[in-house]
Amino acid sequence: MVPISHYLILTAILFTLGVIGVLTRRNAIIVFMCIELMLNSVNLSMVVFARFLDSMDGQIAVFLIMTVAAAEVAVGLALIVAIYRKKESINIDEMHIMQG
Amino acid sequence: MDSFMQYFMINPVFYIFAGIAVLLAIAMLTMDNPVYSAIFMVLTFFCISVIYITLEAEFIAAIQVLVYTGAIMVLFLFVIMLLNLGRESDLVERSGPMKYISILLAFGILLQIGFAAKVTFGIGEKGMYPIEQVRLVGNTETIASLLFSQYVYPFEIASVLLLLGMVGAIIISKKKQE
Repeated sequence: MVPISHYLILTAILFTLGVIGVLTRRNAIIVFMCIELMLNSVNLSMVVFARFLDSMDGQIAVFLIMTVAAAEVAVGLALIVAIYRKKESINIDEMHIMQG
Repeated sequence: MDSFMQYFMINPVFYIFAGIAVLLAIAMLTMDNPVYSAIFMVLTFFCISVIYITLEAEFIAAIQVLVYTGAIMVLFLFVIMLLNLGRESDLVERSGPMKYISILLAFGILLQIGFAAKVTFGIGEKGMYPIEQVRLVGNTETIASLLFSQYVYPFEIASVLLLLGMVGAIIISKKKQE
């Protein structure tokens, strides 16, 4: 059996790559994909802990998180479409309507 | 290094697909064209589903392939093509010192995760589903019996959330009536 630490190193690396993407990219769709990557890395760590602690709760939580992620992607992409209609751009630096 | 080779011989599938997943994730966030990014995202998630199989979580692996490489990739590609973003690949990206500062910050987060994992390592009660028992019944059946008994309320709430997401997406992306 591969030790748990190797799995956790993988999830940490994937999460960090997601953070780097969110912080450095300006294309809203790619930022969104990086958020999905972060969600997936956390899902993976949940399954890893469930497997190593002889538990099933982690896998149930991952199932529910995937439901939430699917709903989130649908709403988020609809928001991006709406913003593109209004501003003709998906550069996240131009999305500052809410700034005071 | 010797012990790493030893582990590699035990479970080469995990190490190969972990490496591929990291490389594909890097490719995903460096591509200029969002269509390529979407394809690399899907390949990354496919590698993650292979890693779920090495953890003997077959149901989650199947759901991962269905939801992410099926539904979510199609949604992303639809939106990219709907907005016709291919020509916008010259979108100005962040550059200069801010970019490197944010990469440093991300590595700070990596250190934090590592520290948190090191402190809490191996702490936690053992659950009631050791892998030998799950193998007897089957992964999917174990999840189903838990989902429809102990976790029935979260399950129902998730279904309501999906309905809400659907209605919300339609309302937000609908054109305003002139």
